[in-house]
Amino acid sequence: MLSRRHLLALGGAAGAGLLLPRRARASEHPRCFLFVFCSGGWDTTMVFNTSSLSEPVYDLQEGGVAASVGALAFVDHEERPTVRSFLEAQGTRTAFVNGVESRNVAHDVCTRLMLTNEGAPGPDDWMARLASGAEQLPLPAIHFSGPLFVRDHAALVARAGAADQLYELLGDKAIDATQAQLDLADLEDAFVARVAQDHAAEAGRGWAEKTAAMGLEAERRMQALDDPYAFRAAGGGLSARAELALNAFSSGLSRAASASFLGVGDYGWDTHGGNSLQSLHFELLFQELAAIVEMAGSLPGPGGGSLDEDLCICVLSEMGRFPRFNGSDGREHWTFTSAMLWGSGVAGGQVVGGYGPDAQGQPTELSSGQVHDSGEMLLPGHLGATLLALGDVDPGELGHAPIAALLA
Amino acid sequence: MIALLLACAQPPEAPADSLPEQTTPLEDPGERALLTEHLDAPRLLRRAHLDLLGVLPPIEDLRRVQEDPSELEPLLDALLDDPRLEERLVDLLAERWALRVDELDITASMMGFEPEHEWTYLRGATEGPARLAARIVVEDRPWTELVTTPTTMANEVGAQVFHVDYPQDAEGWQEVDHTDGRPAGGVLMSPGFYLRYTSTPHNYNRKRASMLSKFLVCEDISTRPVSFTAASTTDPDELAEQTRTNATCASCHSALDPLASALFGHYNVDLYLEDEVTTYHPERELRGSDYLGVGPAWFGTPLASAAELGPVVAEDERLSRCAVETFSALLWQREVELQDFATLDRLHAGFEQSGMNVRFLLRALLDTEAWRAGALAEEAPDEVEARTRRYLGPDQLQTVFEDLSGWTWEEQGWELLDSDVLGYRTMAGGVDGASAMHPVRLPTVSRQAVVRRLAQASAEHAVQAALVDGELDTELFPEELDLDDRPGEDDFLAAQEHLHLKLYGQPPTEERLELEVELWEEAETRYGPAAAWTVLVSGLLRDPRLQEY
Repeated sequence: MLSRRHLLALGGAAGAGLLLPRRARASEHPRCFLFVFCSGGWDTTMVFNTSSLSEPVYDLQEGGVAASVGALAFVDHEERPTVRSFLEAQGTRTAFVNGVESRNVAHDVCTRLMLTNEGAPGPDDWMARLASGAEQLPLPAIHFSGPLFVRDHAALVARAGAADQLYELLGDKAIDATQAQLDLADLEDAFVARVAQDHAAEAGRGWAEKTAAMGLEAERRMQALDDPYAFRAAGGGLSARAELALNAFSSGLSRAASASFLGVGDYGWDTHGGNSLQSLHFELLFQELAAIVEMAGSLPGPGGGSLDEDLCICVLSEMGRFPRFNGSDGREHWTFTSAMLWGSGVAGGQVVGGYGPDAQGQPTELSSGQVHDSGEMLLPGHLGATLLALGDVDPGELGHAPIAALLA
Repeated sequence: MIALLLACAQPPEAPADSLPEQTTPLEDPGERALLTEHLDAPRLLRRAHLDLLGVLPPIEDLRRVQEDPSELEPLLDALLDDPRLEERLVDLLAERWALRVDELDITASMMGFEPEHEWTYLRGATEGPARLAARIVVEDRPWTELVTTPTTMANEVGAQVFHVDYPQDAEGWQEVDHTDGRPAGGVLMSPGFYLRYTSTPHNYNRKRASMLSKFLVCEDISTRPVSFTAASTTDPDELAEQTRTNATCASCHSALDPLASALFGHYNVDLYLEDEVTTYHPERELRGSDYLGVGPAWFGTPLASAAELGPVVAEDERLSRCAVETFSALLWQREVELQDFATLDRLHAGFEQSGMNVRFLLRALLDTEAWRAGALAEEAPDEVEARTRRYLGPDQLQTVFEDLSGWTWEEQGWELLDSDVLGYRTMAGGVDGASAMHPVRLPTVSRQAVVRRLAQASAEHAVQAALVDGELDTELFPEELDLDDRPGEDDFLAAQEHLHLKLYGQPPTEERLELEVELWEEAETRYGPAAAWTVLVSGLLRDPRLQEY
């Protein structure tokens, strides 16, 4: 977080109070991150977990076959042709992380664990922490939908709203403002920035100082958002939100964004019944990912090339699903899950970690990514440390090393 | 047993309009006195109003304590008798228990509600547990009634959705009886709780058991680590056996499953059949043992029937302790920590002495250092973690701004600070019960955007209704103010001072008065006095000193 002295200096220099330079770029361009969160708990046997095809412990969808693109093994199925086509095109830039153990089976707790490595309310999530590595950007992180956990870096993240609410608020759609109000808006904003600055200067120590400084920073960043259309999606669905995120990365507005993906009909991944729906979810997911990657290739990136050279996509879910079907053709919760990384900085074309004959994650050597008795059980903290390493952000007291095998 | 139940149901001896005296010292002043300083009396009064009533204090009361801080304590006492306390408690507990969701498996249209009434349906369907708790508090009934009363709370929505005896000509929330054979049990039997917290057929009520354990006795089983490596089997029958015989699994399931078994009268075979979900099934009460392999019990105490659950929970000493921790967390706006335990012990002792009277507890909480802290003491190190400021939640934003301006932010039947489908609840730090299960009481970019528009709309409405039309009765402006008053005149200055005291509990500085005059004159030159007051009031409403308390 910016120090109070830094904030006040910026305030003095800017006079009326709109402080952050528009669309500022870092001298070293920060890598950009798009998080896609598949809420509900995805079935890893549908794509990631090829060992499921040969282990008797699993009940499986019929028709799945083991396939690979180089060393990237996946479960292929005629219902999911886009999984294959995506991996054939992007396999060298894609890595699977198998056997991540969330160590819980409650949705809310697992979600927090996967995104912060803590089960109780506390630290910021990976996206918010990555945002802290790009404070010079006007809005380091944008949240579109799904889970979000912020604390120390709350002022760096904006919720855009699943129904484009931020667009409404920044524009003139949210209220029936009078013409006078619209014309006097800048005057009012300048006044508010000034009073917030004065408040921060007088706030005292400890929590009061911290929240006053955070409030000043949040106010300034909000006022500096001069393009409401940057938060208006052209339609529903993941790719519409991803388009906003990619444009934000390309223009230098942000470096991280997150959105949830709930699959066909937004049914979600929590398939206690009708697990076969997951196959359709995965097909749609990879269609969306293909579209996102194509979009990224057509946009300029902050590094001077195309955005896909600066973009890392992290796709994950809070848990996996039990290897056996229940009586309703569904699967219950399972603490072991997979994640997928694509793009800039990722050592692709591989599967890190694995599942054993009991459907549980296996100890994995972080340096090689190989399953080995001498390795460690993969936890959300390892995934988080990897993301922070990719983002050049100090992991602080996270307590887990990155999966070095994933770092190109 | 019946005598015991009646004894539990007896109200405390003190009359409803006075609270038992605190006989156990709350805190050793030496424990925390070095760490924090109290807020001054006007801002303490302000904090109390916002915490307990969700609105700012009357200007007269602020002036009274400003002149004589000793007037504060009686005013704090009076808050516990204010009728707005009940609604505020509903807001607090509904958020704590994540009851206000934007969708349910049993939808509004399934229950015959039109789209424009969807929000009304959602709130009426699931607020019942919080409503019951709040009613018990304001009527000075012992907190144990939360789990023993045979009644529930329902409004016109509940009357249509649930099997309750809603009075024919009644309006609004009423305390009513069930008519579907469910036994007494307070929130343990609340149909709204089970509609909100569904349980898939193969979950066998475990999720519901986990939530009740968390809410009632602060035992959050769901956060405990789960290690399937300990079970080392994926055979469902073997896994079920392991929940009872494997020590790692049993550490949670030994408590969870018997409670889930005790809830089997609420078990649903289909989550999308209206009557299946909204009706109690007495014939299923003892079927839990067939599915879970264990009979009903509450943390080691076997139950012969579902009717025994409430009284057994009422006897659990953790119920009262959890009440203390819950209301402490709500008023301190943070979770309780190890360093609080001495204070919590004393609060608990007083609470028990009072007959588990929550109003008494609330008043006692207003005397704690943690509640009164306004700044770090000079000699306290910087790293002391003391929550010396709170932040308005979206529920408070709604009630504060509506009280000041008369304006409500609504669209298509949805209250926009109490929903996320169209609204701004999570953007302002609220809980949606889906992806946001805990509030964020911090300033964020999206929150500032919400507050900006809320302030602007409220200011415009207040100025128009109060100053232009003369129709709005609000304490936002002094009675003497009119649009002809100009800077430099006594009434203009008085209005500025009034606004600062009303909104922040503090007088303005000279520098600040000048800044406001600058803004007002600039706006007035361009658009006249009404526009000038609108932009000034909007700016004042966006001041962080209003958002913090």
